[in-house]
Amino acid sequence: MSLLAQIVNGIALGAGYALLAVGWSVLLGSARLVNFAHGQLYMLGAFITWWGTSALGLPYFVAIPLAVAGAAILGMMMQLLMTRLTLRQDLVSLMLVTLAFGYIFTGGASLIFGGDPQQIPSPGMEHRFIVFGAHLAYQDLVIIFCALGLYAATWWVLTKTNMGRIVRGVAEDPKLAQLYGISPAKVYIGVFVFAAASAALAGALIAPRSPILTSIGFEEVIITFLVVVIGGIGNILGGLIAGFGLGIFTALFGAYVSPAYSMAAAFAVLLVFLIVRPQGLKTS
Amino acid sequence: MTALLEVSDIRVRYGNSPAVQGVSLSVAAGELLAIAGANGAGKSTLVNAIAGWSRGPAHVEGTVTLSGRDISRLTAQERSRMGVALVPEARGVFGDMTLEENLLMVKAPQEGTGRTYEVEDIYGVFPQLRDRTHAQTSTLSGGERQMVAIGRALRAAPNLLILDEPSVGLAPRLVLEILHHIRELVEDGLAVLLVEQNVKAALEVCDRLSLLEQGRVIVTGTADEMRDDERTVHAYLGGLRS
Repeated sequence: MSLLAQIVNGIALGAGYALLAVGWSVLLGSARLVNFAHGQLYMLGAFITWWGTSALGLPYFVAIPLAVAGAAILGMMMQLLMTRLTLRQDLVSLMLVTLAFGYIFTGGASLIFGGDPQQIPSPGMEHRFIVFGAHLAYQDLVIIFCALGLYAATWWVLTKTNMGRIVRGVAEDPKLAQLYGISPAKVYIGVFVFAAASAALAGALIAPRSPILTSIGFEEVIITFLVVVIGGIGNILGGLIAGFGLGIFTALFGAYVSPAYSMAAAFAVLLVFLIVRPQGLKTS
Repeated sequence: MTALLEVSDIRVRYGNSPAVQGVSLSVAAGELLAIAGANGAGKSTLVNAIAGWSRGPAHVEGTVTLSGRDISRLTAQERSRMGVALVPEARGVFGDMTLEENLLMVKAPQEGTGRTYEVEDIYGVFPQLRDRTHAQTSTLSGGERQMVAIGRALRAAPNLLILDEPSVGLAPRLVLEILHHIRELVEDGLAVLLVEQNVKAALEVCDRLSLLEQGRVIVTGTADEMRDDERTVHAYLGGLRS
């Protein structure tokens, strides 16, 4: 395959990475919170979509909102249980508690959905087309447009709306925000719900590319972490660029060096970034 | 004058150490009460307790009533919606946002409290902010940041404005300028509680002044009375009667 074809493949891959990371980017950057169950919410997004199509007989595109709503409810429940920790900004405890939630989600999912690999039937995977020698599915186009659309919407909400200003205000100084009638606890719930719902959307859209197991999720958290840190914490545009960049890097490394080591190479890039440019792609 | 704010026997302690030991005071609409005292006298602790706010784990007792309604058990955000606006010490502004965003993010509560201020009205009170509207707040001067903090508090349409040491770190001319802006708001009917170490400046604009020492009010009087008060003159006005 030509270099151009690999870049096109990388763009398709990277759109998925960017989509996966957008919720975390807002969570960590704008609310200074973490959620290590992010990958498991991705997995649940994929499995609820599969369950919606296979058990309820829903069309694929109708099952997606079901998965997004399910993850949003789980995200809200998580945040309600963790309110005290988030109000204290206790990141270490939050990391451990969300990791625990992740394991509970994995266990719960294998209990409900079983341990067999499943395939989400998406009409987007049925037809393929060729761009510069790269074989893409219509699903890839859906992922690219959703990633671009969600980033644009997120950027707009955070910078142009009062809701965004309140989220940024709470991120900077939750105590000060209280003096103006703003409830940090409610803002944290909103941001957490968005992050959980967007992880599920990523799962519902990306997972049809390959068979799914309830054990997936760990690699997704790692990719999310890479994208958010390279993009520059809190930098929405940086996250988008980092997502696409990581996709292209992984595709090229996989094609010209070895696909087995592409994740290790991505981490080497992260190390270089953390040493040379700890602020990531952020300009200020 | 009937009091808008009534504070009775308020006590605050951090762990076992008492910071405020039974303070009672009142402020009427259209009145400016200044609170002066040395560092550590409990001034900030007192006004934070009135606003129901604290950066640390404070234990508060006593009652705070606003327009006759007991608000002692309400959270800071609930008190804010009832018309209490505190501008905390060290100019609480959101540095990552622009000046305009700082003002826009605060909205007046649904039910009427005090006068509502549009962003344009804030520029009317502090005209020098108009030129810096799109500047990142962290790049503003100390005086400008203080004006943003006060402007943002006004956006919440308060009927009680509490200012905690707005003059810290500002040039004397700027202190008087800001205090005169505050006085105009008082003439407009706003009740203001002003914590101020610069007693001379406070006496220029306040109606009454209370001296706080070791968490207790040791004397309260009108501005004229306090200018002649021995303790005030001795401790805060350099021993010289003005």
